Amino acid sequence: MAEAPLTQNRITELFAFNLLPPKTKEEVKKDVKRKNMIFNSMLIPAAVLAVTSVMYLLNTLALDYTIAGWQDTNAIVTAELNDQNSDLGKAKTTNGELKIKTDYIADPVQKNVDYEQIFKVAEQIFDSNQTGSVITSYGREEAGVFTINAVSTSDQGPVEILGRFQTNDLVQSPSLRNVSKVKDTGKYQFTISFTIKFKN
Amino acid sequence: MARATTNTTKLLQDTQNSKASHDFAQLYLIPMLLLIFGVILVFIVLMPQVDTMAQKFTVLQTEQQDYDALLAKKNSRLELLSLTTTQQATLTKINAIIPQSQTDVVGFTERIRAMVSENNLTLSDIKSGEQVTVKTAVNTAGTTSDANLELVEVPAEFQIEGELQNIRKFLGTLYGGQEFIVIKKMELSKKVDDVDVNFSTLQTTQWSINLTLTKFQFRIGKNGTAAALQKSYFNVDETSRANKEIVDFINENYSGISAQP
Repeated sequence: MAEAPLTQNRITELFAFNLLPPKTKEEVKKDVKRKNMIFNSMLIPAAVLAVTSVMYLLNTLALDYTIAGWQDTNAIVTAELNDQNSDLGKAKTTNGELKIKTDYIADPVQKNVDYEQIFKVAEQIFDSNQTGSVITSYGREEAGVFTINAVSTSDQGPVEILGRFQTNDLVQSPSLRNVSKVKDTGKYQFTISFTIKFKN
Repeated sequence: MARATTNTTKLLQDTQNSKASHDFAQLYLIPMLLLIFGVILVFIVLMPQVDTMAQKFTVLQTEQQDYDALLAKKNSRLELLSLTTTQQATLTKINAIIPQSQTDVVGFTERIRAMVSENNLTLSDIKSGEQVTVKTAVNTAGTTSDANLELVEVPAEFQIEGELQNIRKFLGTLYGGQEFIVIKKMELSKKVDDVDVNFSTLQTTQWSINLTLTKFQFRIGKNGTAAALQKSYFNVDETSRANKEIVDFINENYSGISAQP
């Protein structure tokens, strides 16, 4: 009987034997479980790396770009606002000058009173008084307080005039500074001080 | 014989224990190492990125807030721009009545002398006073700042005599004129002669008035410059507005002064 030629298939058939015993069902199950666990565990670092990559891209591309855009815009607006010679700058300078100057002159303006008001108030108060009170002098002190000196034929004169000052709408803080009896005349001299409400 | 059996049992137990350990390691070692690696990656790689992102969001938020603030400033500035013409007109009046230059003291006293004469009064005496700096800083928006500006008083004393009605007219002319003159001090009294010193009749119509009149001027502070003054004006917050009472007073009382062409 002639021998079959030694082909590749024949060689494979001759040497197709396994020295190791085949794996039991339990061992195969374990292997599958092991492979699954390794695969699942690899997902954790992979997911971390994926999230990190996305965040890196967001940081470098989206956020940096957006921040640079806002910074440029802010720089442009700031430069525009800081330019004293632009229309907006000139408007601010004008407003500032007006603000500062009106603050500076507030005190003098408050003290600048139309004296005709004082005379009218005084006339109104002394008009038809019951105690024969007559104005003898007007005064204004540096602090802005007005004074009126008057004489009266009755000792009730100062009280009557002070009462009339107190009921006048334009007068503020009236007070009777002094009262004295004029020697040999039976007349009473008195001084009333007050301020006037600021009115243009 | 019994001893040999005990040894064999112990050997079997050891072999079983060793096999269980080997199985456990084979099953869980690599997953545990991967888990640890994952946790390390979270701390080393992911957390810094999260931190960077948080910082960038903070920067972005700050930039947006800055933009909002700048936009609000710009809107205030645009509002100011619409007011500029009115404000400039008021400023022209203020600069005319309280100039930022040397006040013409001689001219001022001469104008008062003329007013006295026009009102049929007699000028008995004139004394020009020393210039006094009355204000060097202003409280703007809650903070006192040196505006490089000074307000200076130029006082002059006048003694005038005449009829009360004429004195009243004179004071009215002073108040209603286009010059800002403040009566700092005044003593107006009836002229009493020796006979009437005790107010026995008070029939006289002659009155005497001692007046201390003050004119004002602005000037640049000793250490200031015109440029620094302009900068001070520019630095006033755009939301600050001039005192309305004062602006109204200026506009109503000095309406005759118009803006320079």
